[in-house]
Amino acid sequence: MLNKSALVALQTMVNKEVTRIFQSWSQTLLPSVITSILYFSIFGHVLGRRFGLMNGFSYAQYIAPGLIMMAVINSAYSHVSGSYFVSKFQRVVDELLIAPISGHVILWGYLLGGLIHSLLVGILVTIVATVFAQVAIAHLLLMILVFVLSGTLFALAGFINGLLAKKFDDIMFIPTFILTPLVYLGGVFYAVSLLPNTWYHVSLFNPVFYLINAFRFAMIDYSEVNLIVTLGVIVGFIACLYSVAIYMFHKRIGVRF
Amino acid sequence: MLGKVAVVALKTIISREVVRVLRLWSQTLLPSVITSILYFVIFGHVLGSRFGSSNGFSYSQYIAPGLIMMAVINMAYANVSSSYFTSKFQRVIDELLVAPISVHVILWGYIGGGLIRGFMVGILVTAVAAVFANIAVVHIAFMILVLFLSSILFALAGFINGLCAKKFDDIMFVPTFVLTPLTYLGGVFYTLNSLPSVWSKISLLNPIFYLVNAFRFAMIGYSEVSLTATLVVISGFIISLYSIAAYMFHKRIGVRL
Repeated sequence: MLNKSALVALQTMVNKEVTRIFQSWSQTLLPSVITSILYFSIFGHVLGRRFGLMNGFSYAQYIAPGLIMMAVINSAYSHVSGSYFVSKFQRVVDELLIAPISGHVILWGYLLGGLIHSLLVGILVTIVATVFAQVAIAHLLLMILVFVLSGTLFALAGFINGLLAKKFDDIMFIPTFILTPLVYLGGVFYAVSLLPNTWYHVSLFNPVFYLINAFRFAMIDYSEVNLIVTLGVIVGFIACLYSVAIYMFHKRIGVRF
Repeated sequence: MLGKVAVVALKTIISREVVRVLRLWSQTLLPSVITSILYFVIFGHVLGSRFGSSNGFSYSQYIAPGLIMMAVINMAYANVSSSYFTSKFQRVIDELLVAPISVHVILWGYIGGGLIRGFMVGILVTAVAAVFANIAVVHIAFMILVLFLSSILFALAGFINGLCAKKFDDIMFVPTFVLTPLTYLGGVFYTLNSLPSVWSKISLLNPIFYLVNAFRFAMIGYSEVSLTATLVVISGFIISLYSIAAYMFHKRIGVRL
């Protein structure tokens, strides 16, 4: 399937991305940990005691999957958008373009970087979660699957953002104005069944809601929508975004400045 | 007191800062508005309705002052630290250093910029708060005073950070690892008496707790500690930081790259 030179290329790219993660760990890994500690201690601990139970789970247990997913989504997205944009900005991408490797290999090199980043962050925040909440993972395999799928999905979205970005501000725009609102309104902090009817239906259009829901099912066995639908939706999104990304890359849309 | 040249210089620096804030409004003003809308919707509205009232205030009313203060603190700090660091990085600061103006004028120019951005964000987030919560400001003059003092305090802190910073990452470090935790743990979301006794004592060492508390008193007339002590502490901090900033600038510590 993959010949030897493609494999070497892929390995080299992934190496570079992983080195980047570990070298600047205080910016790539630590902020998610600090943020989640704050959220768990304030919302899970101090406020959660006043909430009582949320559908039979302690509030800390209820928000744990959402906080993990939030960290995973943000880090996958910002890793790839940041990394690709910097490669473009510093013209490193030219070296990749003249190398005898296919667009798919380059794309997967960046995606795997984002995926690894998000898995590392996911594991770290899960550890934080186990300190603050009783977390007994109900479906480990599904949890890993959701991790991988959401990491890939948002790494792809980040790649497209990296292609479209013309200046540094452009890679900050989507995280601040689209990603964060979608995540916050995607049921991290509340069960959507608590919402007024209209807002409940609006929430069903939010893709992040499905991810958080699937992840919550994997962790605490509580789900508000059908899981098969969820996985179908996520895989469909991945297929679309992958096609868009590879098409843009082949057509050299936004690949270089 | 101020010579004519000094007034012109001060006006020039401040108008440059204001133009910067207004031109980059989608990065300088909008994010605070979006974030505070999310917080009011999720914590004030959806979750707050489960809380009922605390100390006679709805949860939205209770968190409003803290959310406004959070935006003011972050923006005053970020404006001065990034503006000064960029001046240093692009060597614009050299032009100021060769001009016949005193250190205090330069310092106040940057602080004025942070102060104005702090005020703008404060007004915008107060407008958001008025939409989500019943807000009748109890002590308006006191509210303006606290807004003013906290903006100056964190503008000064941001200036010192800008002096100390050697690369862009250095101006991200303090907001992520110090400012945000202190703000979140400074009683934005909960009252001190809902904490275990050890933690409520530790919270008394957090300077941001006093600011949030004073601002809450100004807005809803509820305070957990002595206000005179608060104002003395804040003024003391301002004087110390001002002396440090002016001293460092005089001694050319971190003034240029």
